[in-house]
Amino acid sequence: MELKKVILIVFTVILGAIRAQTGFNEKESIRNKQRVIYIYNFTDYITWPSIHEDETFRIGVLGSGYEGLVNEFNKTSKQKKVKDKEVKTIHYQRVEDVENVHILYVHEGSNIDLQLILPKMYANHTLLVSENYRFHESMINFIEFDNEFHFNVSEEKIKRAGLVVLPRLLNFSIVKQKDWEAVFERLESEKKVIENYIGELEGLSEKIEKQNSRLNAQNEQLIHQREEIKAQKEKLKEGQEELIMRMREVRLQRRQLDKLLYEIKEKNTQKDSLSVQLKLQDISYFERKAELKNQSNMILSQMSRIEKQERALAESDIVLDSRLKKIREQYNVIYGFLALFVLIVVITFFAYREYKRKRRSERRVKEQNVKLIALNDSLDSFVYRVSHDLKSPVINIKNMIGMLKEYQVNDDSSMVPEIMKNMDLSANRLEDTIMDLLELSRIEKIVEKKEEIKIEDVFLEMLPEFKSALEDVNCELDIEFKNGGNIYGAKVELVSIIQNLLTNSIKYRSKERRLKISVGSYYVKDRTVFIFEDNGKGLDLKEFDGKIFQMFQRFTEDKSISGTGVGMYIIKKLVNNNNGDIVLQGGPNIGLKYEISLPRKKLG
Amino acid sequence: MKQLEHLLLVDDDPTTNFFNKHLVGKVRAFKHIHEASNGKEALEIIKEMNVKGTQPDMILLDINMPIMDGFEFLDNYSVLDESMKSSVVICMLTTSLAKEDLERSKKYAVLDDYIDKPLYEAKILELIEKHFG
Repeated sequence: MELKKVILIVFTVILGAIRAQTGFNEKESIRNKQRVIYIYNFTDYITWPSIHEDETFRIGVLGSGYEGLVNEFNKTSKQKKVKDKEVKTIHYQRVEDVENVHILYVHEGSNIDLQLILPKMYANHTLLVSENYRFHESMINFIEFDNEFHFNVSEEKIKRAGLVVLPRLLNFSIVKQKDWEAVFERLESEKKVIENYIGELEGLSEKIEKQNSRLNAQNEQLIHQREEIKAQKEKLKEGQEELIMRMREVRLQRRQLDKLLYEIKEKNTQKDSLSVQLKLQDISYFERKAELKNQSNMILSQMSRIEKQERALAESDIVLDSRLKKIREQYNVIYGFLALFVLIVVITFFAYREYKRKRRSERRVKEQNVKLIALNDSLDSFVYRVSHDLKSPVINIKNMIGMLKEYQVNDDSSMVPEIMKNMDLSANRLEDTIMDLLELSRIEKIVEKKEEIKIEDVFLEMLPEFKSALEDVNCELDIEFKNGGNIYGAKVELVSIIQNLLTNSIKYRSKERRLKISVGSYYVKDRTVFIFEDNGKGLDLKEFDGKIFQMFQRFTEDKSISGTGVGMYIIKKLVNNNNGDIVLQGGPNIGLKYEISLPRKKLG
Repeated sequence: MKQLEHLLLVDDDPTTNFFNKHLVGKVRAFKHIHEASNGKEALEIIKEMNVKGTQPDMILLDINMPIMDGFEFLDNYSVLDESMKSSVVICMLTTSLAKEDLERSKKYAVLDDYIDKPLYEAKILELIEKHFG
């Protein structure tokens, strides 16, 4: 009975141990998958030199007892390539066997001193990935804790192997040794608890074995020492009780362990999905990375474009600067020119003023010259008239006196009345000529004072002087002035004009009809037009065109009408003296119409 | 001295014509003496005479006259039919001292002489002698 119990206990312990081992194996398989994923992931962050020359990507696993991991690598390599290359996994039992691989995995459990293999790693450009080693003992060292892998990266060692590590991997890693040690310690302490339990269990087994042997001995001794057996039985009972207690504890522990294992399993499943997610995230990360790369390229090209534009701007700035400079210079030149121009304008102005003054004086001199020439001409004419019109009557008178003498000698008085008549005629002619010449000299030389006068007033004022003469010829007079025919002129000269006009009208009246004289005025702009019209003999204006207002011109064939031929000249001259114009209309045996335009206001 | 037929006196001054007529009559140089007070009248007389088949032997021409002066008369006379002016002696008779008048006179081919006023007997005789002698 006792023996049966002991056998039962031993069996239970062995079974429990086997069960625990089975749980461990399952866990290890999951871990191996994770390790493979991890190591595969690391390859994304590491760049090997001249990897393009290698046909395969080689992963080495060092140490015995890692067949499971090697198998896992082999499985994954069928589905996944690294750096576009087939992955080949090689299992090395000993350090010396390690060949030229891209990654070498070593577990601390292999009891390998990493310091011994690192030089080889550096030389072969091998990434040494270790597990459960101390902080920075290898290149990448990871540790499984709380169902998660944690890792640290020794950038320095990786670089020594001639590998390039992406900064992003460093971000995922545990950077500080303290953090690593903390994780490590926690793992160690957990391990220790489990180890302690196992140790205790082992101790118990040993004890059971000892008891067994003791029982055997005691069995043998039972035959010999029955009493001792009894005592031993009691002891055994005690031990049994203890064992039961212990077993109960162990069972409890085992249940806890199972629970723990289950949780780990759960978490591992989660981990798997998480890892898939991570992978997906990675993929999207790479897409984003590519996108970012594109964007960065775009930004770079834009930057370069901007740079170019800036350069162009800078160049154009320089050009603009130089242009501005030029413009400023041009401005200076322009200001200079402007100043010069102003100076020239001022000088020109004064020069022009001087020139104008000179010209004005020259013009005055010229005008005076013209006047002098005209005066000279009129003087010539005057001399001419003296030689002709003064000389002629004097010669005539002399001749008549001579004739008188002749007839007196012959005592013939028949011709005396004829001679006397001619003498009278010549004397009158002489007088008229002298009077006209005096008038001419007066109008040429004397400038009469001008004022605002009315032609009507002047006309009516001097009408009494002509009253008897007009009555003698039974003249019909028609007077119609606008606003009295106001003009700005010399009254004395206007009187002379009217005298000459009236005299001519009476002198050259038609014998066929009653003389009719119409006087009046109208306005044209700022001038008054003085109208003087008669119905006398008139003149052939076309025949005498250009002669009518010349000095000493006579147009009548009537020998009974005496005249010196200066009347029209005097009228024209006086009109001109008053800034006026004269227009003559009419015809032979129709009469004459004078239109004398005179200013109403003093001229500027 | 042979007596000439027609003399034409052209002057606007009646007294001059009266006196010249008296002088010419005194020397009996011309049978007929005609008077005109301007060039226009003179031309009419010449035309009238031409109709009668005759023409003046001499014309004594004043320069300054109304209507048509001595020069204008010469202009018009120059273009007359040759039959009217074949042997006419034209003499400018003037009181003018103006050189221009003398110079201007020289341009007229039809003008034969140029003498100053006053006219007297000796001048008439000399003139006739010079042109008809």
